Order: sequence, then structure tokens, then C-alpha cells
Amino acid sequence: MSPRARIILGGLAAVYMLVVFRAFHIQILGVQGIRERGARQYGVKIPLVPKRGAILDRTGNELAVSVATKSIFVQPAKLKSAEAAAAILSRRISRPAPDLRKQLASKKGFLWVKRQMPSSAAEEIVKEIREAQGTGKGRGEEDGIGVVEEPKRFYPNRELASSLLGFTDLDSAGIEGVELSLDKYLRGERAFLMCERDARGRVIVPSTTPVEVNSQGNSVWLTIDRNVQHVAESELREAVARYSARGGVALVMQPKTGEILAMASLPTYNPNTPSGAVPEARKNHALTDTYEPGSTFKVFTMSSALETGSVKTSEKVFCENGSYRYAGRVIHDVHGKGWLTVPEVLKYSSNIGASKVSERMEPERFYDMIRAFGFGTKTGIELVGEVGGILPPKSGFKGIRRATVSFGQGISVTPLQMVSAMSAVVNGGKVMKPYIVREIRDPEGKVVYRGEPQELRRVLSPKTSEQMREMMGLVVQENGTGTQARIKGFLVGGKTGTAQKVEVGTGRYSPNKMVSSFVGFLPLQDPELMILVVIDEPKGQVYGGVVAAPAFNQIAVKTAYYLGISPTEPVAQAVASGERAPKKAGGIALTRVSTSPGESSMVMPDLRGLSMGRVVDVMGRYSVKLNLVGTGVVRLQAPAPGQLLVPGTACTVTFGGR
Amino acid sequence: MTIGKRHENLILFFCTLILAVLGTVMVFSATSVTAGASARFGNDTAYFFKRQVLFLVLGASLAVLLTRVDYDFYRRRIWFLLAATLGLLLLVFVPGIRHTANGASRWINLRVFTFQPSELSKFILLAFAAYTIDRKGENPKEGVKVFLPVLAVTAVFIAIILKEPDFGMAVVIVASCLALLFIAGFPWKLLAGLFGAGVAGVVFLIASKPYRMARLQAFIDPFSQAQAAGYQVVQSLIAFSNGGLLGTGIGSGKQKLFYLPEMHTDYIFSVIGEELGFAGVVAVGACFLTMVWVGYRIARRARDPFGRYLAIGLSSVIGIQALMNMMVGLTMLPPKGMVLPFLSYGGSSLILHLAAIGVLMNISLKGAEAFVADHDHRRRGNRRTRFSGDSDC
Repeated sequence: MSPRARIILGGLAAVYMLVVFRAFHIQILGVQGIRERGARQYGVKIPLVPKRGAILDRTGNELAVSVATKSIFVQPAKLKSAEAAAAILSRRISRPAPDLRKQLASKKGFLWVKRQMPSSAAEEIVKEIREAQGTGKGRGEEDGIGVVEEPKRFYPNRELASSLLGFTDLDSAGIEGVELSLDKYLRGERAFLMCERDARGRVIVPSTTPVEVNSQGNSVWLTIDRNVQHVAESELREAVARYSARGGVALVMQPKTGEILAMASLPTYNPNTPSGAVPEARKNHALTDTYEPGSTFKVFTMSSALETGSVKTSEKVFCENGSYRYAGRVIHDVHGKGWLTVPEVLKYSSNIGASKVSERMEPERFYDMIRAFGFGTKTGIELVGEVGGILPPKSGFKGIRRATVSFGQGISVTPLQMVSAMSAVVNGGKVMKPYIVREIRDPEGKVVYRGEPQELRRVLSPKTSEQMREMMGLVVQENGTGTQARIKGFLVGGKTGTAQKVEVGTGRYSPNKMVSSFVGFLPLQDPELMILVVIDEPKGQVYGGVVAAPAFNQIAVKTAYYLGISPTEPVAQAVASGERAPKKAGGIALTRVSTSPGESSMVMPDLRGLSMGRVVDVMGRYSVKLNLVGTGVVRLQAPAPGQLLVPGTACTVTFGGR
Repeated sequence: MTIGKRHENLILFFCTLILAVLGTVMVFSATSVTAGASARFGNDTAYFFKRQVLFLVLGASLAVLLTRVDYDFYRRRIWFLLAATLGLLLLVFVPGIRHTANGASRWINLRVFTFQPSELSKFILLAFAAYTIDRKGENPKEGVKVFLPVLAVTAVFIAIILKEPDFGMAVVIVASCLALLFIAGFPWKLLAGLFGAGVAGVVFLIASKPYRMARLQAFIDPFSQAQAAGYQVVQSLIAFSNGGLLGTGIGSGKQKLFYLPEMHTDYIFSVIGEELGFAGVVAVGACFLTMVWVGYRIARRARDPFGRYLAIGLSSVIGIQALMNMMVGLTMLPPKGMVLPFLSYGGSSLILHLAAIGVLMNISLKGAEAFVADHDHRRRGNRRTRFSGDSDC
């Protein structure tokens, strides 16, 4: 080989070495920018919308579930005939054709046409459109229309507990209520499927990667009982309707534990179609709204005074015959009274009496007691949107301000604070943190969180608490303000409340806008249920004892029998006397009647003359098979009244006209 | 015939076989997805593969035939071959016959397949250069005048090829001709002058066409316009980067999934880089270098000067084009439309390169025959009948 040939060959060899070095640099050493760009252009993260966890009540009834639906999308730019597609869509999903035509004729890349329809319907529509377009037969050639699976939130009980549960948006993200508050548990891990895609954007699902499509959120088991919630809601609705009120709240809580059994708020909405709901309906008024508690607050005044030793139950207070000049203002009572014992102040709900009792305390002590009950701070329930209520500043808490607070004006509280504080009054003096989440379970059913009763602090001694229970028992007795709250089989305690609302804008008390409420508990000596009913702006009647107490009555009786709380009073007798001779029912002694629940549940009550609803209420607690015949009032019953009842006995009750 | 001579043909044969078979496999790997997804190719994943196999068979047959045709035929018929090639080259500009792709009219439409005359002209020009060197003698001292015909004819062909346009082919032809003239003993100074003129021409040509400027810019900073002019460059680099040491395996590359345009033609080397990795890159390059080396060895043993320079020209052009294509793939050179011999998809390229190997083998065979004859002569009369330049080569 000539030297010149060698030079050329050597030159080519040198170039070859350069090529090898360059390849070594790129392929073996790696150039960061190139690697990243490569990874970026292939990688496509497909978000797997996890199946949102269900919300269930304490017994496992489904309150909110996620169901599989399909959403139809179009890619207008790829659509062959927008005209034909619009015509079919317009017919199938009932949307005006011109709108659709306009949308489909656009050159947008992607468009949802209809989201979250039943799977089969969506598939059918797409098939029909594909046929009309003459596409869909090719091998995966894109034709500009398709379906995507999307889970949709479904609330099987519709309005039930809607303002408590809240709702989600179309992408299954919690927007309000429990859905929002516990979103991080419900929504599940946002899983991504790492796929590769080609330059046309088509996804290549790697066959080696297992597809985790069953990613699912945790289920939340609430302390709510669907049936109690239903009772609370329907009774509240009835009261709101009867008095043409703006709305209302009903709360059922276990005073010993702080568990919420029902949280009803009116107005409601259907969370399946949340867009149609007015903002007022979406709010959970039980904790996002405050009201002036009115006379119900006297309970706290009394218990504070008793706890601090400022008064004794035997003491008497002069109630100025209904008009009391104090600190430059005049305090009125609806029914003027003279000398009243401390329990009577509560029974007759005397503003003057409450004010005079509060005068016995150092204002600071009274103020601290109010705060200790939990007023002015959030209860700390698991739900978002809770407010803390408004307390007057401590420095200005004297004189007329302290006096008005003593009977529940000039202070605003949430319904939730009220049941929580009232529970502390009657449960022996412990402030329990209210809670609504009983359990959170992972998709395998393992409990990952369990709601436990939590004692925040002690605010009253057991002795004061017992005194308060007795005093509140008086409220529902003859001549008390809450007589309509009495129920058969139980002694109950409670307090009525009627407060003027502050006008928005003027800041003055409205002459006709009221908040009527009743808060009560049962059984009197060993409270299992604390129930609050608040009616916002009732028309016609305004007194809590009239407007709210009957709703309390119904919720209490139905819930107590439903939950199987043992009656403390002889039911048969109570029913009989209650229905046949209501006048005589008044004089039941405060002390507990010594009829054991075991005994009473073994004796067939006298049902004659009762309505069917009453029979169901009364018989609900017996473990018998109830057989109802006819309509009207009870004419015949078998077994006869007073006979022993063995659990499982068939009872036949025949109804007829009066 | 000695073993030594046959070794050269054997090596040439195996290098060609490896490259051509590998090329067919890589073409299949690179095109199966795109062809399968395209109605234009009848959704046939093997569309390109089948055709490449056909070209391979045709080319191999032609190569076998040409090993039997004494290469002196090309010397005797060189003017006819030149004229015929020129005619074919000009047909590219006749509407109705020409076939245009990617804005360049480089092909003649022969209904069944398209033919690229510039591929043919590449070889014919080198044969003409060898012919001129042979006729005018090998004495460089005779001056530039001897080579004026080569320069003139080459200039005409280059002008036509540039008009198509086929810039890459023009560069390859010029570079190969310069290498041939250099080896033939062309004076350094004149070569330097020619080289300078060539570079100036390249600069002028790049500056004259906006797309060439864009390609150059994309070459200098490909990532600044990764979605536009730099797209191919960047995608090619990503392909190499994906490959690593041993590659993703044949068929497992991702870049061919519509990312890398022209992956089965100009960028087949990137597919090799991705699917066979650094090892594949080194091996393929080594194959080409070996072919050049073997070609030069054949030249040394050639029967006559025409054979020697033809062998040098053919092996140089294959090596230069291959290395330039590799450098484009690795973005060491600005992109230009140019195939990788034996590996890229394309009938004209594959068949003609295989034919060139046939010619090379014929030169080798004839050289061996002459050597044997010479040997016999020497044994008989101890006289040298071989031409004098033998030992210079």
C-alpha cells in the first residue's frame, strides 16, 4: 500500500475512532439532557382515578358510594361528521342540537360531551355515532369519539344527611361536609400508571407492569345512625313546615361519649345533583352557623352558680313580678313571678331570676365557666367549616352584658356547642369532645382509625350535674315551659329556648324573627340521648316549648325505642294514662319509678284506643312479632293487656273506626 | 490462486453478508410498527422488509454476475456508461418520470420501484476517474491538465446532483474523488486548492439554502429547536442514548415508534445504536473499515492501474459514505440526506452497493489470476511482466 493510501486509510480509521468515542460518550457515559428528554417524551402518567371510599353509618348502611360510570368525549378535530354526531347526541342526551353542532364543529382537541352516564348507555351512543360515521371498524384508527370510565359519587339516600355528607365534584374530589373533611382518607392513593407513548401520543401499556386498577380509598364509618338521622330529619322537617320556618337543626348525641347519632340541617338538597342546591342548603348549620341560645343558656348560668357555690337549690330568688330595672335597662319576664326557688327559675324560665342568680357570681368566674363549657371555641369535631361562636370580650363582661348572657342573649353558639355543653351538664360534668367518625377502614377492611370518646375537661362536679338533671326534669313537668317534650316510658329533662335574632345590617334585635329551640335528654337519671332541636324563624308560634319541643318529643321517643334504651317508667300505665286521661299524667314524681325494664318489657301494655303510629312506637321495644290489621284505632289486641310477653310472641292488633 | 487472495474475497463476502442481513433485519424492526399502522403500506408490518429482501436478492444476483464480468469492460465502455448515467440523471428533472420525496427529486419512477441515478453516478464517476488516471499515466508531474477532464465531468455531474438536490451525495462524490486523486499522486498543493474550493463551495451551498442553514443551526444547538429543525438530531441522540452498551434488543427500540423520521433510510444507524447499543455501533463501523482495508489490499494486488484505482475508488466511497452517515447519526456532522450502505432501506442503494462489491471481487479475482500467471512467468523465465506500479500501491 502506498503511503498516500495509508494516509487515507489512517484518516478513515481516525474518523471511525471519533465515531466510537462519540458513541461511547452518548451511550455509555450518558449525556444528562438527552436521557431526560428521552424519558420525558416516552413517559406518560395515566392517573388512575381511585375508587373513592364509601361513607357508611354506624351499622354499615351506605350513605355515599362510588359507582362505575362512563363519560363520552369527542375530539372534534378528528370527527368525520360533526353534523351526524350532533344529531345523534342531541337525541340521546337531550341537548339542543345547534349547541352541540357548534361545539363539535370547533377545532378543539378534546371535549366532554356527557359525563358519568350508565356504562351501557354510553357505549350504545358511541357505537351509534361510530356507525353513522362509518368508523370504528379500522384497527384502532382514531375516530374522534370514545368513552372513558369514571367513578361517580352516588348518594343512595338522596337528601338524607346531605348537608352533613357534602358532595364531590365530577372528579370525585370532596367539596363539602364529610366528603371534604375526610377527603384524604376517602379519595385513596392517587395511583399513576407509568406508560410509554409513541410520537403520535398513543399509549403503550407495558405488559410487564401490573395494572393497579383496584386502587381504592378508605371507607369512613360515621357515628351517625341512618334511622336516627332519618327520624331527626323528618321530624325536623315537619316542625319547619308547620311553622313555615327558614330552616332548622336537629342533633342527637350520646352525652356520655360525645358520639353524634344524627345531625340534621334544613334546608337540604340532593347531593347527587349538587349544582342545583342553593348555598344555604349546602351549609351544615349544626356547626357553621351560630344562634343566640336564649333561655336554654340559663342551664349554664344555673350550673355555674351551683358549681361555684354561689346559690343553693333551696334558695329563693325574687323575680320582681316580671320587670326588673338593672344597670339602666329593664329586664322582662313573659309571665311575671314573685319569689321562686332556684329550680323554679329554670322551670318557669325567668330572665330576671337567671340574671339575679348570675349576679351572685364573680363575673370572671361566670365567664370562665362559660368558656369551660366550650362556648367561644370550636368543639374540634372532624368536620371542616366549624365556627367557634361569639362571646363578649372578657373585659366587658359585666353589668347588663353579663345579665343578658345569663339568659342567653348577647352570646352566640353553634348547635353543636350547645349539645356538647349540655351533655357536660347532665353526664356528670365532663365535657366530651363531639365526634362523628366511628371508624376508618382500609379497602381490606382493616380499621386504620377508630373514634374514641375523649374527655376534654371536667366542668361540673357529679353532684351539681345531678342537681341540674333534676332541675331540668322539672321543666317538662306540669306548668313548666317544656311539657310537650314528655314521652312515655321515660322521664326526660330539657330546656326551652326562644331568642330574638339580631337583624343583619342594623345590629338590633328583630321584633319578629326568632330562633326557637328545645334541648333535652333522657333517661333523666342516666342520660343516653341528648337531643337539640333548633327552628330558625318560625312563623305564628315562636316559643321553643311549642315549636321545637314536639319535634324533640318525636325524635326522642322513636330513637329511644329504636336503640332499645330501657324505659324507666311503666309503659303500659304511661300509655294508658297518657292517651285516655292526659290530665292525670302530670303528677309523676321526680324520683325514679322502681319498675325494672326487665319487668316492664315482659308485660303486654293496653293498646286499646291508640293510633297505629303509637302502637308501633310503643311495641317497638318489645321483641315480639307485630301483626297489624285494619286502620283507625286499636279495637282488639292479643295477648290481652297485662299478660306476660315472651320474646318472639306474635301480637295481633286489630284497628277499626272510632 | 493463492490462499491470500481468496481471503480478501472471503472477508469482503462476510462483511457484506453481515451488513446486508443486519440491514434487512433492522429495516424490518424500524418499519414494522409504522408500516403496520399506515394504510398507505396496506397495514403490512413486513412491507419494507419484503421489499428489502427482494432488493437484497436482486443485488446479490447482480454481484455474483459482476464477479464474472471482467472489470476491463467498464474501462472500455466508460464513455457510454458516463453518457447513460448522465441521461438517467437528467431524467430526474422530467416531470412524469421523476419521483419526488421530502422536497427532493432524486428518483426516477420505474413503476415497480424508484431508481436513484445519483447512486449510480457515484460509482460511474469513480470509474471515470480511475480511467483517466490510467490513461494519462500515473506521473503526477504531468500536471493538472491530465485531470482536467475528471474535474470537468465531475463538476457537471455534481452540478446536476446538487440541482436535484442531493447535497449529501455531492459531498460524498467530491470527497471520494479527492481521496482517489490524492492516492493517485495528485500534488499536495493542488489538492489543498481543490479542497479549499470544495469547502468554499460547501459554505456557499449551505448559505444559499435556508433549510441547510437551519440544519446547520440545529446541528450546532439541536436542543434549542428540538421540535423543529433539530428534531431529527435530538431524536437520533435519544435513540443512541437509549441503547447503552448492548442495546434494547432488536425490535425493542422506542424511537422508531414515529419519533425518529427516516429511521429506515438515513437514520438506520440510530436504530442500530438503540437496539444493538454501543457494541453494535462499534461492530458496524469496524465492518466498514475492514471493507475499505480489504478494498485497498485488493487494489494493491490489482492486475492493472485501472483496476487498482477502481478498487480504491469503490472501497473509499463505501467507507466515506458510511462514516459520514454515522457521523450524521451521532450529530458529529450536520444532517444531510444520505443512506448507510448495505444497511439503509432502498433498492438503488442496496443493489448498487452489492454490485460494487461484485466488481471489487472481480478485481480481486483478476489480480489473483495475474499474480498466478506472473508467478508462472517468473518461475519459467524469471522475468517481470507485471506492471511497475505494483509495489507502490
